[in-house]
Amino acid sequence: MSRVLAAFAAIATVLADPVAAQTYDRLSEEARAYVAVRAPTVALEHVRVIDGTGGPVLEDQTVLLRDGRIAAVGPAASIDVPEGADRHDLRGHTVIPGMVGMHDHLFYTAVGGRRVQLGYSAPRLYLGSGVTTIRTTGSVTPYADVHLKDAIDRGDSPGPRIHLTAPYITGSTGAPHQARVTSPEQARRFVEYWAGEGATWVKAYTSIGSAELAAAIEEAHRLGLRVTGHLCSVSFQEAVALGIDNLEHGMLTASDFVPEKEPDLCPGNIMQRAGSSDPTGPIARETIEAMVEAGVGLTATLSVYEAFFPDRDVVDERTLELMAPDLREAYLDERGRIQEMGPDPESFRNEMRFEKAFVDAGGLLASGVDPTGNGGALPGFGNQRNFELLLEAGLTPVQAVQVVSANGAKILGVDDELGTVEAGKLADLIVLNGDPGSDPRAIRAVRWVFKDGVGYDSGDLIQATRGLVGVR
Amino acid sequence: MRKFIAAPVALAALLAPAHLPAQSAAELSDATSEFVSVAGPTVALTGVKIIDGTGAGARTNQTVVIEGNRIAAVGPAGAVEIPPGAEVLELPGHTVIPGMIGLHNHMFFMGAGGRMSQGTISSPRLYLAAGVTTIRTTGSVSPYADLNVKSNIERGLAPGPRMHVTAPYVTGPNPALGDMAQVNSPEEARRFVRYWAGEGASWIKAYTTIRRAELAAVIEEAHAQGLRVTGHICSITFQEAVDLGMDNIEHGFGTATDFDPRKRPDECPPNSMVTVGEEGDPTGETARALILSMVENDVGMTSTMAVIEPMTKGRAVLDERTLEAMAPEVREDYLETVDAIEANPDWPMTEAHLQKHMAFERGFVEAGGVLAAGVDPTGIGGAIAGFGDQRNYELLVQAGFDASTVVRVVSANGARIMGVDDELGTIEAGKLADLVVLEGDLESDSAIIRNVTVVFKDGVGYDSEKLIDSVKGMVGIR
Repeated sequence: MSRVLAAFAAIATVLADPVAAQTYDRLSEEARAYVAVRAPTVALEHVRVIDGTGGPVLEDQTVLLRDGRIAAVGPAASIDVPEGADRHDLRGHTVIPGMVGMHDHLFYTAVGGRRVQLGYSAPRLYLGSGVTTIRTTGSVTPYADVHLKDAIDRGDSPGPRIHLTAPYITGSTGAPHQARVTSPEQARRFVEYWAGEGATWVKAYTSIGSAELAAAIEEAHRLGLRVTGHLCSVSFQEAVALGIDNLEHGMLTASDFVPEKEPDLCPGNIMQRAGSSDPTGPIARETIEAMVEAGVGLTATLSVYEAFFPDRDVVDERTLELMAPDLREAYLDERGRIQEMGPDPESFRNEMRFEKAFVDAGGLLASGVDPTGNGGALPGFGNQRNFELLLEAGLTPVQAVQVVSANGAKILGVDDELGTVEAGKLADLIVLNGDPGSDPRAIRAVRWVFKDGVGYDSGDLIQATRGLVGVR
Repeated sequence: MRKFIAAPVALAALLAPAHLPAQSAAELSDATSEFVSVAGPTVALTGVKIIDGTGAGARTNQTVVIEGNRIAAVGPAGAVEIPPGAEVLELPGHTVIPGMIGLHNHMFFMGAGGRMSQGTISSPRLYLAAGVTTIRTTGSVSPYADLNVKSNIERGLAPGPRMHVTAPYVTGPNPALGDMAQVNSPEEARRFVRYWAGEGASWIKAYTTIRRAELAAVIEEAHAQGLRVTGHICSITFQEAVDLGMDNIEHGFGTATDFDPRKRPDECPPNSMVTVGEEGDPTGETARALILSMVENDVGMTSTMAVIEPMTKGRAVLDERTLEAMAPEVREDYLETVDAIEANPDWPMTEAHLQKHMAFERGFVEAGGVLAAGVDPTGIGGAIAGFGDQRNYELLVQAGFDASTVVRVVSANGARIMGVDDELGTIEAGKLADLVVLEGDLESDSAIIRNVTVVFKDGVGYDSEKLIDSVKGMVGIR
């Protein structure tokens, strides 16, 4: 009898708290300081909605949020706003899904060899910019990522939902902080350990051997993890054949474009050589076709690349304000150098063309910032910049919204709960002051970011990191 | 025909005496060779004063002969035969000591204002330049980076010390210690140890919130895997750590919660360093019993006064070389913090506190304890890689030890705790040729420890000044 009662009580709990959501009550003082909208029922009225499904832009809508979920979306005239709801007339605003950042490290690298864990500023900048879910896609200080996720999940720190990726795994050469594996057994051991520590993804890097990558994929799949990679020693088509789940960056890292590539070796100058290839030629078509057939998504990271090219609009005031003073100076010097003698921007344009071709062929394109390189792409800001660059690449606003939100959710396997503005989904969404359909820069005009139905003040989150990017 | 010639050469290499360089100058990459000033393979240092690390008194007008990567002979001038073809360095007025062994020598740096950076380039160069030829990392935040640096150094690709890699910090659940592995059960603790043992860690470092059950599991598993365990502890008293079988304890007096009247089992009392500093008695009954127990169980202690000093009011570390090594913004934050400490009338870390550290370390050594040293390049950032190890030397002299004892503390005792004392830590024939050449008489002036000219590691001499110049302005960045 008591068992039946207990079972009933458990079900009742589940029903009462359908989201296991992070309601306002569960947030720490620190997290609450950034909250602007906290009522259990919130009505965002008379907004434009680009819902992430790929469907048309919807005008004069009301989005009703209740207990951490989207309760209803529809024409303002047809939605019954319940008594007691916190109502906001948001004419001129646009609601899009919370962005899902697929290459969103919690560390940051920049000119002069800086590499810093941004345990304080990254979660604030992601959330403040409208990125409500991230995949870390490689880590340098792995336990710090694990514990930041815990702190956010507990409500102690403001920040996005985090899908943890294990440290980078590569072959016998690699960046200084990466795990080097030189046998399939080592690769399996690595995956097994980090799976136990909470990683749900593994990120392979440019010198991994195909045998080791195969072992990592096999072990990851056995344990319920997925694998992505910034590859080179293994081509995109080889990786697809090995069963990889996602590929990062695009044609600038696809060694498929180097016909004389030797097995398991990363050819020199890959970015230049792939970048000067034909983004819609036979190799590109074959590569795209293989990915589409296998359902392997691609993560666009245009904003990190852009900062390496001359004549690009990458020195915006808001980015400079957040950088630590010395970093700002070093970055401006670097941009000056690039302006004088940077590489031909044609390869950047080719990357855009490749991504457009991938989408046109039915490929699942997602996006992420990758806050590395020379430091020009900041957490969050770079995710917004990706949206603008996807439009420049020729995607429609509806497609670009889908890329930065729903497609990431699909690749992560959380699309039943996240990624679109639809009734029943978790209430992760962004309120933009303006229309990103007619003005791409409206993606930067974030007023509120809702995560789990709690509305955070974008400006407060971003301002909290002034001068700290590059420090902590 | 060519095959026949190649075979005897290979055979000759195999049959060659075992004391040939493990890492001869010829095998080093260009990036490493750039810093080599004495390539060997046969070198004689003549006319030097030697403090050999055994605890014996200084000896003047000595000759040291290096052949390959080993010390071939040491003795008074005239009594040692200099092999034909040796490169002879006449060094009157110089002192030679064993390469220092830094037991609390992270590859990362933590500075004022919450800055934390992996010193991928600056740390190994500064350690070697300062005369630290062997380090134990004693906790890491980017563990694979430490393993890769070790591998690069061993392959001759980068200049740096011999490295004994410690696993990431392991502690108990605590939101404030986000960079560390946090273990919640003995099984989690064992899993942690097994994984990092397999990745190449030879030590485990426990931290301030680990509980007894998990620490016991860590120690048991580590010993089963051939690893050893040290700790900066707080939730565990020094006495409890000794009883649980820990091999080494870091920092000394200020972190010994044996002296904190508020201590409860498995809990780290808040601000314990302040309470212990104010209320603890470093020479009283508790101290004597604790020291006796550490000595009886052969548990060494690592002195890290270099990191404590900059946080001590009236003791700001402002030497030009340290400030020059820092990146400009790191220097600025550091100087601001120093000013804030000096301006704060209630700053809890005082000279009296530091003196208690010194008294406890004196009591430990007098009782026969194995005291070693390490820089710990954290705190407010005033103790940087290598320079802080040298500062430890000076502070140990300030604590009242004579030169021979201090040299032993910074070299041989570390080797003993690490279990490499058959090969390293003293200047004796047959040992590996890890030596520091200092310009001046270290015995009469402790500041001579800063005057490093050449550092030998594996018989290869590195140019200290050149190494230091190569990383100016880099500390805190990379």
